[in-house]
Amino acid sequence: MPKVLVANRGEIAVRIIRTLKEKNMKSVAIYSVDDKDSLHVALADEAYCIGPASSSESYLNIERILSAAKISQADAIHPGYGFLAENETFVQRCEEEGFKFIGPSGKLIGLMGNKAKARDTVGKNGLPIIPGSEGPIRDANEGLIIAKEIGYPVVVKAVSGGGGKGMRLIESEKEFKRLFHEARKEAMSSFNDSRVYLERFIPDARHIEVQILGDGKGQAVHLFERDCSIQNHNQKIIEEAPAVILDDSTRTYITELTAKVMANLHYESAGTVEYLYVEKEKAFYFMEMNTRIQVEHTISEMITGIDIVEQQLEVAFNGRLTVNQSDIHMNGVAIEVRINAENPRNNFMPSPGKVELLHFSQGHHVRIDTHLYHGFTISPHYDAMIAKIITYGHNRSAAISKMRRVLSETVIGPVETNLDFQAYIMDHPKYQANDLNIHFLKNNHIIEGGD
Amino acid sequence: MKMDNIKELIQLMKDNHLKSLNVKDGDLEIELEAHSNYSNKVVESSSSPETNLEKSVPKDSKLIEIRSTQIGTFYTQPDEDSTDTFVKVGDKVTSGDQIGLIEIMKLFNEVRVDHSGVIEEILVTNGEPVEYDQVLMLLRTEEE
Repeated sequence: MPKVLVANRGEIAVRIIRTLKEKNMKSVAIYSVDDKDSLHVALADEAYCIGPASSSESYLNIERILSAAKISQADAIHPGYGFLAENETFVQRCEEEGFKFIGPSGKLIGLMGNKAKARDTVGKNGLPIIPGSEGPIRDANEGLIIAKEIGYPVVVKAVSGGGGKGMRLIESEKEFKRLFHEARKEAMSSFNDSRVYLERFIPDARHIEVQILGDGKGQAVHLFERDCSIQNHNQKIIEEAPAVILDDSTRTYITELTAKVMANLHYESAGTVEYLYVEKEKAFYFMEMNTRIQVEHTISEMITGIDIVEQQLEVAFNGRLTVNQSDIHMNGVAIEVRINAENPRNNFMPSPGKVELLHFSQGHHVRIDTHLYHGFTISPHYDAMIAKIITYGHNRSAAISKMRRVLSETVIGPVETNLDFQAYIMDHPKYQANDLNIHFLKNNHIIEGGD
Repeated sequence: MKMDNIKELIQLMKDNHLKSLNVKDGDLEIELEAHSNYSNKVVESSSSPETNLEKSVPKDSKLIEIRSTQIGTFYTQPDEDSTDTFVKVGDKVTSGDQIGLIEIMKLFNEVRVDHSGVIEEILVTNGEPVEYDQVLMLLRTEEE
């Protein structure tokens, strides 16, 4: 019976352990001192404390995780999302020690982790990319020439960047040099890598992403797409599947193209290709690829009926997917709302603490993925996401109605949560009319200020 | 009810190891609850006779838990071929002495004590997997 160590915590560790149980596989949890009363520890067949609360000494500590894998005699390691899920070194170390890493190859993770290389690779393989420089720019003079070619406004971005660091929007030639040097300086201090590249700026787009499953040998399927345009400072907070804004031919074009390119790259396990989508041009622009299971994988499961973790296990242990593209159909619409322990009235300040009031609504076509239980203490050391509420309906408005009902019944306290904030968005006429883009919260003055 | 009566009730609770007592007498109702330290003491003295404890242990000593700072395999012996151990129960150790080894991914880390005292109990065996924060040994120390 295969044994899988889950190198993660919180709701995703719980979610992975559940499928392991259903597949009659043994599960091993790891945890920090702060997480000793966590649900993933209670649910797993075995659990090992690997370090103190600080992530660098526990969930990010490769050698300690491998030591737990060795002691428990695990066959494979599932990284979940975050922590070491997209760490090339971790994949290499797992392989060296004889543990199957449940995910793509280290080489592919490294490739997709480098934004400029990822863009070049997928561009050469036929995915639509944002017009820009091929690779990093040598100096401001070269940048000025390229910017003129692609047309203003342009964005300068750090090669090793993320989270908006080392990134500048440049509207005209006369501010190019100043902002270019600013971005470089910030890239150097944030990532110890001053290399930057240029892209055309895409305003008012949607965030649409395609869910992929690959067997690593040249077969890949897609589970359609998700619309994740509702974002709070670049952080997704509401996701929908499918993106109902797409017509059938546009959907077929992007999902089939993405699956074909991932098959050519011999992509293994679950992954997501993220695009900006400009509605009036029906144009997609590659943003990045996430080489792991994602938070919002649940809604793709809801509309296709496929358990993504189960398929990851099939590929890891049997070298194949158990679904063909022709078997995969989508039905209805699913919405996921992320519930965070934070105070929306105080700049979304995290609100850790003990959960003394807890009631999740249930009912037809409602799914709750959470690690909360009555009396659980939310640690200040980790991510503020405490639950994902997923509703399913025959169309978008039915899924929204159900979500409004579910949110109104749900009680979590005395910690602060964004339950009311999410309910406010569900009630918003523009959200209900699907009249939105990635700047929805700012444009409608639901949150303040710039990114 | 007089003060003496209450004292009597407290003695009654002590004698019978009661944690709480509720007495109603006409209009007067009194509820007594033993302090948690007190009830712990009751359990302790009933399981190990006080005379015994006093004999073997100096009065101002205390037990310190020596905990693992790693997840890995614990070794009580420096050498697999001999049965010699780093320490055994009753050994005197001073701060900085080595008491074992933890192997984590083929790297051996020395485990040392940071207090001086006498090894009271060894809770792990040679070659046993240990978790982070697991209690490895108990050390009886007279340090402040």
